[in-house]
Amino acid sequence: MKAIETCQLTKNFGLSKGVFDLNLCVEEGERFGFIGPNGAGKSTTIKLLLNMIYPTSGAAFIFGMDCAKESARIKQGVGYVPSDVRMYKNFKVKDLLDYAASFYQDIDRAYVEELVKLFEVDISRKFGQLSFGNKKKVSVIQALMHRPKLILLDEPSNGLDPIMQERLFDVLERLSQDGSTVFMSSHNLDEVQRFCQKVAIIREGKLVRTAETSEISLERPKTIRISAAADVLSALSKQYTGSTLQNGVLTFTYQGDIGVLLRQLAALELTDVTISDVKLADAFMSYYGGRGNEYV
Amino acid sequence: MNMFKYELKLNCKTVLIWLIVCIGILLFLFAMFPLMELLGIQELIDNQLSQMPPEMQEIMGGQLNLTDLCQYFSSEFLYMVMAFCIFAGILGANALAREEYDGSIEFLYAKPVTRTQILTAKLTARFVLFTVFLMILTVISLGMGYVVRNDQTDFSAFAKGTLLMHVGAYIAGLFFLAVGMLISSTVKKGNMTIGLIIGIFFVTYIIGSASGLMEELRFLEWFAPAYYANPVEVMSDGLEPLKMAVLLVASVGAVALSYRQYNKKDFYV
Repeated sequence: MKAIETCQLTKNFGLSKGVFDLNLCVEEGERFGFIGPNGAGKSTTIKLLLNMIYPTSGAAFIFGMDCAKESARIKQGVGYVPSDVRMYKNFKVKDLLDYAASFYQDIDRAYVEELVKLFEVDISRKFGQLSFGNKKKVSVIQALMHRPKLILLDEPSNGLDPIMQERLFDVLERLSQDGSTVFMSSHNLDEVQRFCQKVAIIREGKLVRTAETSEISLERPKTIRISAAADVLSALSKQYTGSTLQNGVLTFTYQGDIGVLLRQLAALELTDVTISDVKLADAFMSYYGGRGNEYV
Repeated sequence: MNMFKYELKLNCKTVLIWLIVCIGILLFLFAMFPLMELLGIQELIDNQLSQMPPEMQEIMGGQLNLTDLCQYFSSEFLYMVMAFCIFAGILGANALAREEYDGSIEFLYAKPVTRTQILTAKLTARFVLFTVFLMILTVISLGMGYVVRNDQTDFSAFAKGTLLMHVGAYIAGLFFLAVGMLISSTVKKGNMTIGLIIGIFFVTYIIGSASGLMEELRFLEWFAPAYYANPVEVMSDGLEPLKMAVLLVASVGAVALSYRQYNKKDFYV
């Protein structure tokens, strides 16, 4: 079953702002990353899924239910962590969590306490007195307390320190193993690469690409760094356009059969060779960094 | 029910502040009543009023006997009606827009609730709070009236008139509560709603004041909901059923429209 499906989903804010003809498909149990720069339409898409805003055209479905028509039923099984956490600032955290729990049946109080302990939240304090990071933790707890079938996260690690980020991904990992679907938008591409199985890239409101996270990295060119005698490097630099020679190290990007390159390099007298995997961040940059659509 | 309870809790403090202020004003008004006779204020006012044209006298409340508790209280109660209407309007105007302005709607509407449920919880909580608010003030008005009554006072007439004045003010307040809700469910910028409802109140109030200037402008009072429950008229002649019916129908209409607007609104957080 599809956890999320959007069909030609469009929200037009005018002046080319919004999302346009978005066709997304997230299978149940999948860990899905949604990446794009600011203003690309990530949060708009999530708000459409939550029925915070209505689509101009097209439709979105969660577990086969129309997001605009069956929103309340859908949300029984959805947990949402917004990017910017804003709740009732005069309420104590305990009251906020009780309020959040009151919307669901059969809340496992022990699990909520476990989350509170895990994220080290002081529930006796007023929400408005908390730092952004602590507010984020409260937001995470209220979103995960009912063990949702679908978890929507908008910049989840934003504001969390590295330890709390690690704990968050541990909890998400466990929920994922229990069958929950995780859909996260993020700027932190490394965490998307580490956690998500699939990734969609959105640019100016349009879906540029959906692929397996590993696929995007694998088909990307390799970064090659070679140390050798000057004449060898000079010859290689002529062969590989765009290469740079600095401090006796030749660096260039290679795309193609890696075996061919290795056979060529084996015939040369080299002092050192480094072949590095390109991270998702670099793939992402290729979509936004003005290097065109060579990997689309 | 959970949202209703939390709405009560969220707004308790605001209601309490307004209640304390209104009780303070009522205590002051009733404390002033014995002075009307003792300090000869009635005589002073009569002299001042007699120098004004009849139209101005009408606006100032006409020739009232301020040593009579019924006439005194009804002439001063217009300020209370204004306060109730503004308070109810603010309650309504804050209801939905504040969630968007503060961003907490992102928390609330991510929960398994419909927009209709959110609006109903907020509306009923405010309805209950405003009703309790008015009931407490009615009891205090009656109690204070009993304490400061003088030999001329027909207390049963005062009690009946006071009850009717509060009922009239309550219905006018409900109208502004409903209009506030409508504004709150429609306006995109959440920080504008309170300014709008207060603006609407004062514009209609000024129109109502102008209606008393000459007979030809009398029809303008239909555009001034606060004047539908004009305390001086209510105390002397009772409530006008037609005006009350108009207010109630208009309130129901505004609430119905609020549901329609809220159900198709985009939440910009």
